Amino acid sequence: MKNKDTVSYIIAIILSIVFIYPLYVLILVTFEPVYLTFGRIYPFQLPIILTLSNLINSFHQVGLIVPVIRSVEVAMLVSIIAVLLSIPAGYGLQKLTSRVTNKIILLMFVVNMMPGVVVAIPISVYFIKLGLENSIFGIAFAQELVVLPLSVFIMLGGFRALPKDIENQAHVDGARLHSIFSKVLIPLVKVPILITFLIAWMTSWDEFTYAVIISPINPTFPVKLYDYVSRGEPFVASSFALLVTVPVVVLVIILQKYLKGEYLSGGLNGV
Amino acid sequence: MEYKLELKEITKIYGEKKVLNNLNLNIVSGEFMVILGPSGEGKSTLLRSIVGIENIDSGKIMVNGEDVTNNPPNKRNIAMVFQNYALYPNMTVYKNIAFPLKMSKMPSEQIKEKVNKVSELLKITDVLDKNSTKLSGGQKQRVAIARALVREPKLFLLDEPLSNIDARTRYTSRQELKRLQKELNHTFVYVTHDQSEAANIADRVAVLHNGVIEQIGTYEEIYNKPETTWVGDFIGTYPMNFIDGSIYDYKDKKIGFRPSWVDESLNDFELEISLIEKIENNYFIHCNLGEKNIVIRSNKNYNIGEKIKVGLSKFNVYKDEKLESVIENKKEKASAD
Amino acid sequence: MKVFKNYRNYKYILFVLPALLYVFLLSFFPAASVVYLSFSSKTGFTLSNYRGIEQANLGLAIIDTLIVSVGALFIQLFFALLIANILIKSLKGNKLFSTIFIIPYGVSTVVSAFIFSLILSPIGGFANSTLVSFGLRPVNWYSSSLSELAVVMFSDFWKNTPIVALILYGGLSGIPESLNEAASVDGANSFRRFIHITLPNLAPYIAIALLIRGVSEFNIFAMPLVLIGYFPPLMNTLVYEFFSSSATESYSYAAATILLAIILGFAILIIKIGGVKKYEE
Ligand SMILES: Nc1ncnc2c1ncn2[C@@H]1O[C@H](COP(=O)(O)OP(=O)(O)O)[C@@H](O)[C@H]1O
Ligand SMILES: [Mg+2]
Repeated sequence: MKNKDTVSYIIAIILSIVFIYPLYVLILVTFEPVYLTFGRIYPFQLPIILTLSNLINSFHQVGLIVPVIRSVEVAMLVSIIAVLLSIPAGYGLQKLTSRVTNKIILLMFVVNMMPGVVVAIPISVYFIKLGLENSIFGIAFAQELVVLPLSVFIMLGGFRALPKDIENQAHVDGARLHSIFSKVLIPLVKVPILITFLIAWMTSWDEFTYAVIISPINPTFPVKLYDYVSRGEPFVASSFALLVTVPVVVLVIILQKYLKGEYLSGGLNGV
Repeated sequence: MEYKLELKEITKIYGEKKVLNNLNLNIVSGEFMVILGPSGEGKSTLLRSIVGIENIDSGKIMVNGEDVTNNPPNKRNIAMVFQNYALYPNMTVYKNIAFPLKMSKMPSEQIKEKVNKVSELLKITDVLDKNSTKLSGGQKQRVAIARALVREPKLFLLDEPLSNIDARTRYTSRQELKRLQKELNHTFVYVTHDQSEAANIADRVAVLHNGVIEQIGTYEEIYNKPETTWVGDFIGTYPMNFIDGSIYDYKDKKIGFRPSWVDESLNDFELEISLIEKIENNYFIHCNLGEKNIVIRSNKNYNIGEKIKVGLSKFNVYKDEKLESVIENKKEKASAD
Repeated sequence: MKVFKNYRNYKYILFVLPALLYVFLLSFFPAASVVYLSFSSKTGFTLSNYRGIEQANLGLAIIDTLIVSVGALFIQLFFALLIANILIKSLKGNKLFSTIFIIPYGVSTVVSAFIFSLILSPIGGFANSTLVSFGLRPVNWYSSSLSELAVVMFSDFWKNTPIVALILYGGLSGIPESLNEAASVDGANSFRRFIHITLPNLAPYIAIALLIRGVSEFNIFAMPLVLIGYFPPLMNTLVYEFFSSSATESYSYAAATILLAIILGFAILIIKIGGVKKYEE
């Protein structure tokens, strides 16, 4: 083995420990008896005594599952809207000169530099009037703001990567706009659409700012979790967090092959 | 069925650049027209304007006397084979070929019949179920042509269709295309930068330069009587030789001649030989005439550095880079003087 | 400036419009109403909201936000480059490493913040427990404002480095091997290859990663809220602190308005100078 590889291995292993350790801690506090973890100043780090009682106790707390379902609903809504808006936007942007395209993309990102709280507070005021406060639509509409720039950027990359002249060929073959989309373009950007959906879903799932301000009464999962943490119930919080995190981490690992930098930055290529 | 395409004064501008500049061109039924020009001269732009995927900035496109300038591509009944074939990667070969028919809402039995017929014609029946991305270059080209043919278009545009396949296949494909065009009696406009291709298959060649058709005619006409020194320079394995007209008393004019027009029995001017290339049975001899480098053809082998005296059996006279006269039989003319 | 590749392309702006309008309507209207609300009370025009926040440390909030944003971006970029460079080497076990390195992307921010609040407690906690078991002295991670910000940055590094590494890895795998080979034939050592070949080719990807992450860092909220609460203040936590108590709710509009003005300045600056040119090339 080469010397350089040894250095790489050492760095990779150290980083792996750093990346795994926090999850280990979460698992530990969920399954170790409270007197070994929260009950001590220096929690015990080896899994000697394990118990399910934390989990079971947490499940006596009502209303844990409702926020998770809510989060999933919101995330679905956000990703569907993201796909529906970013397909035409990516397609249209690809037709403009790259100078203009870049300006528009940058503008969309920069608008998001406004502190989320600043935007979310008045939105919540509007949504109260529209009856959207505490509704999944209200949260989803607001979160869309965060999701859209990247979604459009991903779809732009998808359209830019299409083989040259494919769309022209369809024109020449007599196809109209709707068949060009349904028969030729959409089937060719399936992967970018999937990525857009996935990233939008993850972003919404993670989103806290809009969720906490627009829907404090019927919270999504991150808001509810924050609630438990700030009320000082870490054992409930940890069971809850673990149960919800495991499926998402597994999902991310399964879909790993789609989470590629090329897709995320595809809008860079072309023209 | 008569068909006539007229391009009138068409101009296409990209940014600051006039890629097509008041270009005129007429194409008639059943001809195999080759548009020839170096890369970047706007050949693809011309085809794209004809088919309607680029809008022209000014000028008119007329089909059988009817103005189609503002018609979208699907209203022009023109088929086009793009440079990289643009096969739909998400479809099988069959679906690719059937696509234009499907778009015209043809019933599926009829589609099947037509697709089968055209794939027999192009010998691609055995790949019909393959995905279009799994084909070789030659097969892709055939599929693209089949997809264009299946619509039975009025006009058939091909953008360098043979540039992406290997040399040997290219040669046979060329002959096949020509045969196909004559058999079906279709009108072809074929773009290439390769003049041997043009020489081989064209009924007429149009040379595109600086946004206009600089010359149009059979390949022989263009080879022998280039209208401008640029065309003379561009056409031919060796560019046309241009020397000062004063050698034959054409003051302030240029004399242009092909390597084969040199007559070694004449003693009109002296050349110094600098390089010799042997191609099949001929020697192509690079010589210096004063400062000028010219190439002559001979069946004799000379030595490098040798000085020889030659004359021209025929030549063209150019004034201000434009053809002024063609001197066919110099010997007679000389004796008449 | 030429807008369309082709003058017929004007119609394509229509395809972009829904997304654009969405972003603008949903951010400009709220922004405008924040300004309006900041000057209004039940009785009409007022400046009382601004008087209410005289004590608030807006300047500090902005500076802290900048420290966290720039610091977090820097750390993420550094480690992401490291990770991408390791993964590109196709070492044995790389599949496992890349799987491990993606994990935090699946852990949501609030969960990450919560876990790090357990690890980095002011007294005790898992990190200190480790230190103590090695015979070292425990550390108070919250001893100063700066160290508190560092806690936020570290948790943020853990959560967000994967996505940056993903983007940079994409950029790295796009660099043709032949470039590096040619350079090694020319005798360039690995550091020079990195400076002269890798970095220039990676630059647009770095720019995109910075843009995507930078905007989020600037908006950082859940992470500091869970880890350090309202002090030291960041822009979002400061406004939220006012907003979350009904006595000071209307002050939040005034604070938001001032922040808005400053950020507008920032945004214009970014569009004018930095960004565009960088990733156009
Ligand atoms: N979409 C476009 N935008 C700007 N310039 C273009 C575009 N398409 C072609 N050009 C320019 O027009 C000229 C002619 O291009 P093209 O028609 O492709 O030439 P050819 O097919 O003869 O090689 C080239 O100089 C090219 O750079
Ligand atoms: Mg071309």
